[in-house]
Amino acid sequence: MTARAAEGSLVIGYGSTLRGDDGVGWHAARLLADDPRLAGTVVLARHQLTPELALDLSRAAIAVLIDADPSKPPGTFAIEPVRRSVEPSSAWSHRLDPGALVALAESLYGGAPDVWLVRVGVASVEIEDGLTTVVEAAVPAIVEAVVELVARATPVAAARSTDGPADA
Amino acid sequence: MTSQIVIDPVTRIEGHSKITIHLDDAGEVTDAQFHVTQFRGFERIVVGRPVHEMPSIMARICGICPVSHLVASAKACDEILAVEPPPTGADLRRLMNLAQIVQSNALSFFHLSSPDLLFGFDADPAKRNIIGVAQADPQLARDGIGVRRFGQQIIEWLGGKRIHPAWVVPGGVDAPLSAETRDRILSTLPEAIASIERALTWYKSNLVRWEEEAASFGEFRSAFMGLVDRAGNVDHYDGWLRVMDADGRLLADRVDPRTYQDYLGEAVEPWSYLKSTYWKVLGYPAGVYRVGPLARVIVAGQMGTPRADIELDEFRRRVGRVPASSFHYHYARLIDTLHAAERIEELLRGPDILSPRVRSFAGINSNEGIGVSEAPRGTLLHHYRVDDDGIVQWANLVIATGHNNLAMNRSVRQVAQRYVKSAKLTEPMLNRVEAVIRCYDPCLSCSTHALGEMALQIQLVAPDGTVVDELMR
Repeated sequence: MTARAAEGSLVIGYGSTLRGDDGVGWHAARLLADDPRLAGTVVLARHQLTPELALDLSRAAIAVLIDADPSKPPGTFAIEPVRRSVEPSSAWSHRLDPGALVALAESLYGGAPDVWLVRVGVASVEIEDGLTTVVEAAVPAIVEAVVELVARATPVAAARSTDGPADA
Repeated sequence: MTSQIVIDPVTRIEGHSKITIHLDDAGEVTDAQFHVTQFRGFERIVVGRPVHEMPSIMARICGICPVSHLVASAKACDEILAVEPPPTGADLRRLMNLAQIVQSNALSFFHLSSPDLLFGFDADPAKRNIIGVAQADPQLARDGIGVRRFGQQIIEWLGGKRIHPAWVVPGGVDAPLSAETRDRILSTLPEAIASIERALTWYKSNLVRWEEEAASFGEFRSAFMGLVDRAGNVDHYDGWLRVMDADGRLLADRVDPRTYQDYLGEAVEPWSYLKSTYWKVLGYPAGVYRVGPLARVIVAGQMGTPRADIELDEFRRRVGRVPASSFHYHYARLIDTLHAAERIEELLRGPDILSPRVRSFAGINSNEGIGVSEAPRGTLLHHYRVDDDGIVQWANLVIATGHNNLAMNRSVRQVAQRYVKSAKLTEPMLNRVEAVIRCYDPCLSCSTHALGEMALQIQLVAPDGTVVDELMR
């Protein structure tokens, strides 16, 4: 088991920007990466959660994931803690749900931080570039909520370089 | 009355497909087919687009191996511009393509196939996934994650993003390599090589456990095809096509990839969007050949890098000079990955790798271009025709998974006949049918492109299985 050395905050927004509101996490991550209040936080934009992110997760003191949720009313969002997935079968082989990612970080790298999932209600996930008006209007509030969450968990930001958004 | 078993969807591959298995009255398997059920149509999408857009458009074919399409497309565009990239530009393209080989091979071996290899093909499907691997063999899982990250990070550092980087352009690459990025990559190399070598050691120590699968997973005589360099060694970026038969004889050597249509035929079947490429001399469907990591290590004299050459010698001692079984794709894939990592280091230590001269510029100087590279899954060809203004008039893509289509279908039939008995259908039987497909690591997103008019079959089937009407075009 590898010893876990927590370093700072991690934000991962994920989804497909070519499927309308499914990309809301990605869009939020772009804004968060440029937000000076999150200096020192690693912000990643990804198409999906992959096993490789387990290492990033294990290195963080707190992690916030942002994803679309078609079961919620469009433009609303909720923040909830992520629990380790009990069922290994919840893991697809090269994309994971948040609980499985936590489980992987714990199994391989000695642990995972407190992980929060921001679930954003969506209006359309059809093939289109950009967000619907109602979801786009919610993005600033999502950004504020994530900044507040990170600030509450890490009142003194760790000195650490910031990765810009990238596809993956 | 005959019947059929359908496996839909096939899991742990890239894309969407299904398999049908046909049984006779006695319940014996008579045939099996691997159907690719998604359609892309990029050859049509690009008609009317300016040629300089082609690499970026073609990279969108796939989220797993976009770099391979970038490279093959840019090389086809080089021909249309009638330019050669500066040597450093070509080396940087090689570098990114090799990083792609590393990350995609790692995905196939560690994430998609290692659960079967670790737990066995009869194991509980609930644990045959990466979480199960992490719990049972954390080092193997960590190595998989580490090797894939290594390849992904190189692509991201060079191209600015991991998927669909636009850094490879007609005439070379968009920007030179910085010393900082070079040193960053070099600093991560030792751990990546150590991880690949650990996986090879693990794989070799377990070979005996998979003897039964090796004897029935696509175990048949066929030709193999891949790119080789001037010395006859593996080349992932350029070179000549070499084709070797099951006895190790060269069917063709030093073939200019631009002449591919003289050697390779393309056929379509009504039950799949994936076209089948075949060796013309032998005809269709007899002209089966295989491409990809197994073909690369077979057709090449050597890998051309020290560690991979040692592994290749051992591979040939263990499984033969021209192994017939597609199960050995897994073993070959690890050697291919090790070679790619070694070549990355060689390229980065080259004296001119930081040269600012990385791109040649030109206008439209030719109406046709063909580009070739070795993608993770095998030889990839892009062929374009443009008008005098550089507007694309026609495109043809010959994708690695299409080269392997005949072999995959034959493999599915062989495994089904060996393991599937209608009287007692079990999950492990079905898993083996899927697993033989995974040996080839097919990328269906890449490979479903039409040849001419799209084949379409519509059947009206009565409840007793009788086909009462059928339309085909």
